[in-house]
Amino acid sequence: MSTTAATAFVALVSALLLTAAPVRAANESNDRGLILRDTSLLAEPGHGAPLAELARGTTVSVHGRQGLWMLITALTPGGEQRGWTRLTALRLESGAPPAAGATGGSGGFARLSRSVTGLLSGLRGRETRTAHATIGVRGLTPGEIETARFDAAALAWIAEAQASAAQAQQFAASGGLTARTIPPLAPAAGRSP
Amino acid sequence: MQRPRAPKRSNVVRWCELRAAMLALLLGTAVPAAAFDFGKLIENVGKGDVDKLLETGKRVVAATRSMTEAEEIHLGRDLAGRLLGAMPPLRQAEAQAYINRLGRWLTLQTTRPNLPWHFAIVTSDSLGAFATPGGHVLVTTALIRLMRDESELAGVLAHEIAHVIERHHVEAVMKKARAALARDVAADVVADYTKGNPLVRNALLEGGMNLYASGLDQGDEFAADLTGVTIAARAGYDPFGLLMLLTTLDALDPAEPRASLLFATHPDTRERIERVAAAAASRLEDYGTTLRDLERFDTLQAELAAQR
Repeated sequence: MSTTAATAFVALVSALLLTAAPVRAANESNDRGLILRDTSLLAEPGHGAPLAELARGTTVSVHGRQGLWMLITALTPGGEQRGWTRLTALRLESGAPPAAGATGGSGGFARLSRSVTGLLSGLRGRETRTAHATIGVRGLTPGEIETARFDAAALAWIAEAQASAAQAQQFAASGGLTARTIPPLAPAAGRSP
Repeated sequence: MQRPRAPKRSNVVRWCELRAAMLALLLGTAVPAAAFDFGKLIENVGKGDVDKLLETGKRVVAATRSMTEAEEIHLGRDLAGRLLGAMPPLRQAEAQAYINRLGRWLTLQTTRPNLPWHFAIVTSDSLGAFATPGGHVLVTTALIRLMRDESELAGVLAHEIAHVIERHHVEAVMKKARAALARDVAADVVADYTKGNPLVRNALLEGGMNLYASGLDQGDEFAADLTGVTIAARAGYDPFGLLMLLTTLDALDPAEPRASLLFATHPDTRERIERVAAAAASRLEDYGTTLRDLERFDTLQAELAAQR
């Protein structure tokens, strides 16, 4: 390998490493994502001047979410940049981010009282996902569903756990959940239900 | 003294009644006319069969009227019992109490809060969740293991609750049963097979189980996504829990055996994500930072991990 080629190779490897391992805050998730279509990297979720344009196929690091926007770090022509992109423009390649609040400090959205817990649960609770099929595990087949026999004992057993409305309300209150009035969602224009 | 006999109806009148019953059956169903070959049917009917045929026609018309709520609940219970035969419940009383309280809270935000709602975690390596008419909702241990937080579980349960609220399975099962019964009526005449045939119940049950193996109409799934997102948001959750779980599913290998049934019975995952995002954009985004992480969900996942 010539010196030039070796230098280029080192540069390429460095670039790849940089892309895969951007600056990482102590309490931050660092999942990998793939940009599915050309899109803008924005300074704030949903608004602000574009920081950069991201091409389809770009690999990014994913740190969190606010609504339908994902906080990511991408290697752009201008260097490594952190910003927001649409959730729909991204495919999470290895898991997904924790609560947006756990990203600590961007804007004013770090409002979750349990943000750190949320992050830990995100890391601890979910399985490690890969793009490969699970070996040795098989799912139910349609035939197994259709030929299933009625299990009266199981049905009776699950009925014992039925919750009353009062228990449900207590459950909500203990979790800090309150009911809200929200009108039904209609399909977006141009899409049938 | 001999009682005066009621005037005997002529065969012509009975033929008219028969035709009316058959017409009602056809109009009341989406069965293509080709499913009934009237010419052949009539060729095979002797005059003595007319009463029998009329009776069968009436019976089927009665059976395929719209289902009452009590019938819906009964059918749903039978279907849930069958599903539990394939996926036994997780024998963890606390976990079952947890999912029932969460699910019940979601149902309180709907138009049908008073159905006899039952929720259950079922043991299976398949990624899936199932709803039966009248209010049984099952979710597999494999799917819960894939979730990050309670808002994702709420999102899945709300999607299933939406199927129940909107009677998607009831309508689909009725449609299947009408088609099956229409075929059987023709067979009834030809084979003279009318006695003690539990046509209706069997058609509904088998049609229902077939739905869980083959899936609902895609339109019903998209509709349940949107209604589910709304229910979760009304209950105080981050509305996008379902969306995040779909994003996780989208990253799975399409050949992933744990997801084969889910993928085969639902629309393309990316399409579901796009549709929810398009409908919710600018309408639910303000709710996107609301509570979604709760320690009690971590406890549930720890219990599931201990089951392994």
